Amino acid sequence: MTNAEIATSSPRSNARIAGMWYLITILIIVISSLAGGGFTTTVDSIRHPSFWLGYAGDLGMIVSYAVVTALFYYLFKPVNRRLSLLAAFFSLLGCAVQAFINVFHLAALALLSGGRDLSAFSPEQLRVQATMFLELYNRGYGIAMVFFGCYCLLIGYLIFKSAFLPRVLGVFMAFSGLACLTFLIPPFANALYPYNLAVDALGEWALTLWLLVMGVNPQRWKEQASAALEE
Amino acid sequence: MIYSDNEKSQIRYARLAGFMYLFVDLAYASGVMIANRFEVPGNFTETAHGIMRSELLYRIGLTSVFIGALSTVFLAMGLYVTVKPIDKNLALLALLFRLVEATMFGLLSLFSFVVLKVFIGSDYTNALGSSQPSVLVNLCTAVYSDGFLVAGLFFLMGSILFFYLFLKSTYLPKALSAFGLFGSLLVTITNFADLLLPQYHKILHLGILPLGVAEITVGLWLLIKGVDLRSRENGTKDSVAAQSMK
Repeated sequence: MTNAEIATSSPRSNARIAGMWYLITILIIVISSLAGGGFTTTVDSIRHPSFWLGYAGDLGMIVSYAVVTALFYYLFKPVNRRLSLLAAFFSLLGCAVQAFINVFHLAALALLSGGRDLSAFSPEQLRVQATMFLELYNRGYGIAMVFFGCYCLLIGYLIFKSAFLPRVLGVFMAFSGLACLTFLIPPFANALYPYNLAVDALGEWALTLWLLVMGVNPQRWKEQASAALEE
Repeated sequence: MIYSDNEKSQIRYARLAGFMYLFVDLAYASGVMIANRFEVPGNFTETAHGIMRSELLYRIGLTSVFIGALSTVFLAMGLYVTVKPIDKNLALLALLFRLVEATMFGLLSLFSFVVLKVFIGSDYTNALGSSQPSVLVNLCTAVYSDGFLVAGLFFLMGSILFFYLFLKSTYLPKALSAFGLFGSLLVTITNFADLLLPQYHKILHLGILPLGVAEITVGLWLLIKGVDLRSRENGTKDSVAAQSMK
């Protein structure tokens, strides 16, 4: 980034666009969960037509979160270029894991749909095997959450160190990160559910609302970007 | 010696890489050792009983492997920042290989957690009888161990590139970088051989030893001694002097 680019950039509108994509991500997650997608999918709900809405939502969420990641990388680059890059890597790895685990939903659906090739197994046996694939999805979801937890922690730190966003948002995001990291020990995450997800949502919603309504302080963002350029 | 901010940051990241080399190796090694302690080859019931008796320890072993995969991101970042001045594009390529490795190993740990569920979950034995759950476990274990070989190839591509960049630099003793490069190439060969000739797995598996020694030595070196930027500066001065003489 050059001095001329910093001078002509509009960080407030960039922050609002990031906030808008974050909001889209949150809305998709809510709709997908209501439709029986994500970790709410069960052996019974997967055969319901609304499952496909949840499935599409799962994939759509990954795309919109990747956009958020890219926008946040540029937003927090002036604070610390390398940490912003590291944060982006964690988020993209989480997205990759989340994209991959959707295959397990399709595998479970294939088993439950039956078919001539599966006639060697009884319906109960197919149901148990489908449960195993849903279990694989849920475990994978937990693994993605750990990657996202590292992302939120780093974003929290970057917000805290930034001069253009309130520090309290950084603290909220750090708590979001810690809540996601509970998935590192699945029984611990299960014991804290749904409070851990509520803490995670609180931080992410607070940041989204702030970015949408207030944006960032453009003057301070430009000062920090210029200072980073001189280092 | 006065270092620029960039160089100071490079030295810090090199120490981080050194620490993470040791941490990642320790996490993987301890995780695999704990999980292997429970395995009674060919005896599903005995293995399941062993796991049920010390489920927490088994979970610690599985989590340890996952933490190893997660920490690879920090290791890769540390190595990337350290060797970036040598060749930016190759350093980025190496970083990307190691990030793919972290994703794949993270995903593979899924299968070990599901194996645990099959071992301790009564719903599987109720529906599938006493023999069929072992088939599921064998399937998951096969995916896990073959997946390790495939994910390992991404690790090795990253490792070869990072050691090559260290060899091109003066950051580490040349012999150490060359040993790391040799170890990485050796495991690449044994990994491919293992995919093609799985019956020799036990012998081929020993190919990891030189790389293991190299990683621990490089980790300790980077952590304790850091990188030698002074000799790079001398090298730069020499090349400038040579050019001015021309």
